[in-house]
Amino acid sequence: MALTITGLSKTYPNGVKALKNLSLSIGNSMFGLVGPNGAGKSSLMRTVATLQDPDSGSITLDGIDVLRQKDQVRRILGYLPQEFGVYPKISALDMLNHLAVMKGMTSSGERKETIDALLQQTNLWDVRKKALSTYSGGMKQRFGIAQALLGNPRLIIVDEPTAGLDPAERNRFLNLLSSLGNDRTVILSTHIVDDVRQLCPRMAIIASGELLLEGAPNETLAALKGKIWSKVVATGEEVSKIEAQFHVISTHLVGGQHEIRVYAESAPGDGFVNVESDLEDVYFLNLSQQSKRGLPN
Amino acid sequence: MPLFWEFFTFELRFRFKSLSTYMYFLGWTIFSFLCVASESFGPIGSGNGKIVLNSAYANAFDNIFAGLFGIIVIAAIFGTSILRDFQRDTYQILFTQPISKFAYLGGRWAGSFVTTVFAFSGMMLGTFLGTFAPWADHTRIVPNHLWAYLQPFFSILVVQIFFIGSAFFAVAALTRKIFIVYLQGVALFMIYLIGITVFVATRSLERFWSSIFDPIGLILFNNVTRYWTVIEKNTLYVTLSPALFHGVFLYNRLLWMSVGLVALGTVWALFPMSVEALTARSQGRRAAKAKEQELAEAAPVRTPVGAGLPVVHQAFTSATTFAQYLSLSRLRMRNIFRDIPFWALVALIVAFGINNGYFAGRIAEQNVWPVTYLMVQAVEGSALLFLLLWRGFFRRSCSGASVTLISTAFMTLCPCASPRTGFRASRPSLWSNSFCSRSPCSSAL
Repeated sequence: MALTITGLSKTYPNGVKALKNLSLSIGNSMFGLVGPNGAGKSSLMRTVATLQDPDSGSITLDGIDVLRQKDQVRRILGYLPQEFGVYPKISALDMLNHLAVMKGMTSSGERKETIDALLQQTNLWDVRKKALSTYSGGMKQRFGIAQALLGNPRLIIVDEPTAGLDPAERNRFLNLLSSLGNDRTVILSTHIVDDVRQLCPRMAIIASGELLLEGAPNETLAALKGKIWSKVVATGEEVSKIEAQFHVISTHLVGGQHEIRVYAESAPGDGFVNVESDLEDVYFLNLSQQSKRGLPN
Repeated sequence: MPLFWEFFTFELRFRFKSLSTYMYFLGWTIFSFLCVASESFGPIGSGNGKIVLNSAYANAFDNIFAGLFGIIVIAAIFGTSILRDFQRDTYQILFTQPISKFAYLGGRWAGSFVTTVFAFSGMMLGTFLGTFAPWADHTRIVPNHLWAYLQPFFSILVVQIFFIGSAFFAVAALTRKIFIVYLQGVALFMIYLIGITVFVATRSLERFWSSIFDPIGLILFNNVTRYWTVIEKNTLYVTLSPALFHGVFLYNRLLWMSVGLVALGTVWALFPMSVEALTARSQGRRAAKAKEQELAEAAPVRTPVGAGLPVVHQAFTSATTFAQYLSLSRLRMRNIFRDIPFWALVALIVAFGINNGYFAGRIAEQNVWPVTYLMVQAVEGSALLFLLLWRGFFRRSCSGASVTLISTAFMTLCPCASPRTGFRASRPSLWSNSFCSRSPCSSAL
């Protein structure tokens, strides 16, 4: 199963350009899509999930024209939206049953078997009869993935699934995602770089509706080897001074002090130490390079 | 077809888990119970003392009044059924499933129809129970006949539910705005009352077309039974026969059922099964907001450099308590004034006020001086009903549940976590809620 996106563009009626001639090829594994809020990730996800049409471009999924044969795609699609609500007073069991019928699972035996398995897998079995509206954020998100897995979908799209989850819930959720196996296309859209590092053999960074980078996380890391430098300073003024001089990728607070990470081919000077690059550096470097080029609109 | 059945049964399961369905049923049961069990309640009970209270004629009139007062109930059930996915934000999950327009719209509509018919069937139960009330006037109660219940119920209320429900369903589906759902109910109610007032004022002798075009049935039934004797009223049925008063009842039902069918046809033709078309405005807004966020994030990630906050002095005196009281009152009033059902009720009361005020100066189709006691009666007539409605709506908003927005629920938590002096800070909010929600009620009357 392979998803091919070619020259996708989308401008909303209020003039916001969400996607700009974006092309991407996604294979039969878990694919990470990172980018800041508003980069166009959700617009891309919603287009692939048949919720909206682009102004131009095409998407094909193993010979299926996603933009025209929507019903065909919906039969094999599992979608977890970034934000979704639930009906009041309806339990997870009832709602999953309702959605399973929509997915074409008309045999009640099969339906029960699948739903029971999904509730066990998402650790919701004990609360299956409780109203969804009483669920915590993590439980609701796990319900979201359970409904996305109904009908054994071959294309799964999860949009910002770990936003708002506590660390334990997030860990559980990532484990669940990784157990989905390699025989299907899974697109994980997130702005948390760490999620991608843990799960995805391939990734892409998008910002401002454009593709900034596509590749394997390891390859992108290798390209930065020896080029990330770090320095710890105490005050905001020092941060500003370094920012004016060097290509600062990010700053973090460490024990109340500012750790500055700088991109440079060679040692930038006094007090800087060479550090191991991580995926977050790749991400921030690409974003900062793009913002230096200016954000075309 | 299995998908239609799934949507239909899910809608029924959803509705029958909701307390409001049973409250509607109970409301109609009590209404019709009182129409029989009380001598001074309802259109027949308070009228001519020789008319049997559980005859087909009496049941027909009670049903017409239920159809009039029930407009807002019909609007609330049909309108919200189609708006639910957009209000609850479940449309993204639903519209990525291979569903058909027929299953989605048809299932929701059919579920709402059956639920509303169930809610109004309380009318039959209430009348039946009323006939057993030991204190009722049993000289005006005859042995119960099932057909005397079913015939008016199906020929009047079920038809009303069909066409008004379908029209409201269509308007809600095509506009997808919650305030329209309430507004359309109130609007129809007001237009009908004002229309009747105007028509009566003309003292027109036209009986044929005014009967056919009457959507609720007050004029229609007055015309059809105008020359019926007491005995006829106690024994005859207002049937769909073409021979009965030139067949106006039959033609009226056919006309309004056709309106219902046209409404269903319109929604079928115009409802777009596409999220993009259904949520065009909110999509644009979301994208613009996201764009702002992106511009903010495009700069290198920086740790926040602390800025000093201005120095403040805290005081916890009786003046603070009063300030808290005012602040909570303001907040609560703002919430209530932004509530759509609040304005729907205000509009309803104004309509009633106009109507009752007009009729206060007329007794038995004669103009009289609208002296104080007549004006008091005019206001008193509907005041109790509305005060009960008011109480129902805003008691719920006090506890932070439903009707008002989620923000209300959140905001009710905030005062509880703030320091308070003297008495509980949530009290003033309740008082102010009660005061500011009821005072417009009184002034409107």
